[in-house]
Amino acid sequence: MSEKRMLVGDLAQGLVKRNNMPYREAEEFVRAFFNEIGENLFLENIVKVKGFGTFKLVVVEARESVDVRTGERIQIAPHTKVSFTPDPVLRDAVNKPFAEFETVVLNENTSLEAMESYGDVTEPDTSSETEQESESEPEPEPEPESEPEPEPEPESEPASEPESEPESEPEVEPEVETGPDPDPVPAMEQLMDSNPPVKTEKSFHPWRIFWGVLLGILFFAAGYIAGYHRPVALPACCQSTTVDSPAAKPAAGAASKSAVKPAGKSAAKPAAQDSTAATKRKPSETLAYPQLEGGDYYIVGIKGTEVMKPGKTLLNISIKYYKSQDFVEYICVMNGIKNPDVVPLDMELKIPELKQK
Amino acid sequence: MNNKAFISNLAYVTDHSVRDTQVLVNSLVAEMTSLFEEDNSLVVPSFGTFEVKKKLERVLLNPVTGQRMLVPPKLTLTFKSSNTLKERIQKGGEE
Repeated sequence: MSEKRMLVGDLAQGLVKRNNMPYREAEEFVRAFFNEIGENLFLENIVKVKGFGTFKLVVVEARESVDVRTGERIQIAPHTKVSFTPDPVLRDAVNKPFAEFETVVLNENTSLEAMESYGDVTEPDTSSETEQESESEPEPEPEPESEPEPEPEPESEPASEPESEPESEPEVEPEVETGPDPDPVPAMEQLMDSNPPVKTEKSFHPWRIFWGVLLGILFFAAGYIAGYHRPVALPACCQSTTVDSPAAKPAAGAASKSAVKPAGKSAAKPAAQDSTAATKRKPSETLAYPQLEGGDYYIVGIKGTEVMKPGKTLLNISIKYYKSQDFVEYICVMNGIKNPDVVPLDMELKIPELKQK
Repeated sequence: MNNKAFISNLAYVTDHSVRDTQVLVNSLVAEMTSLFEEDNSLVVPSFGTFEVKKKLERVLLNPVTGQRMLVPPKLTLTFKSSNTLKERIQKGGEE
């Protein structure tokens, strides 16, 4: 990635190399090329160049806007502008570094904090860990009647507010609030509502507290993890949590009415610690090697080497070592090959040893 | 105007044969593609600037189904017309 500003002269140099033509002629041709695009644009409003793209004249209608400096309303006059749409071939070539990404449908309860903590690894971990924790949770919850609700709520918010991205806030608030509010309730609770009203009030109250606390802990844990994962200083946070957790664990056992707050905290902490440890373990064995972003496998070692000879392709090397052509990208990543179509002759390729994530 | 008409116009202007022009245009396009693949920007005086820009990933909401989609980041090629070209357009192509 050089990110240089190229001029017509540079293009002309390229033409000289490709076509063995004098530089002057090449430069003239490049100028004529763009000039002609401009001219034809005026003639026909649209110019298509195969492999490059489409230039179009687009009429922009008059619209109102506000002057940035004075704050006055101003009228932007109608004008014509040139729009350029790159040809699919060029578009894909430009987007090659990101070509492997696809649009994904998010699940309803996917929290956006995961976007912050780069590895997708943290996502499954937090959910599984917090679920385990929540199973042990019910003990302290039914005991306190209505007090604990407000406590996990403020706790989870400050935790997720400063550390995770702002989008997560609106999620935290409404969901936690639905717990205490009698009106907007999940279908399950509405079913219970249809039962004799006097009894249900007692019977589903603990349930609501349970859900409220559970949600609070879930978001707290997620925020906690997201917050600690953003800075790369992983080891430091792991140490601190390991020191905390033994002290916090007994507190969870001795859960009394007033101890719900620390209990909730401690439950979140082991969860956070577990998953940080889990995520830390994985990178540590893979750190020595470059990794394919978004891939299903870690590169954990070198399986062998292969010298590029005429007739060999990354594809058939991939098939030879992995019985599938899907691993070309790992070979590319391992050997720092940017363009898989161009591999220098006699290059010694390292074949990565893979391990499923 | 399609590619063919453009090539023949260009051939007329540059005094090349249509076939030669086609070859030259192809290699010019290939050259530009390789430039943009390396994230270079291209400035063409009195025409405009081509630049590769990174669009960040974003979350889309489908208003009908309420589904949230995560759109991946991407690199796109953008074109900004130069002032001289803009002025010429406003004047209707006369110079």
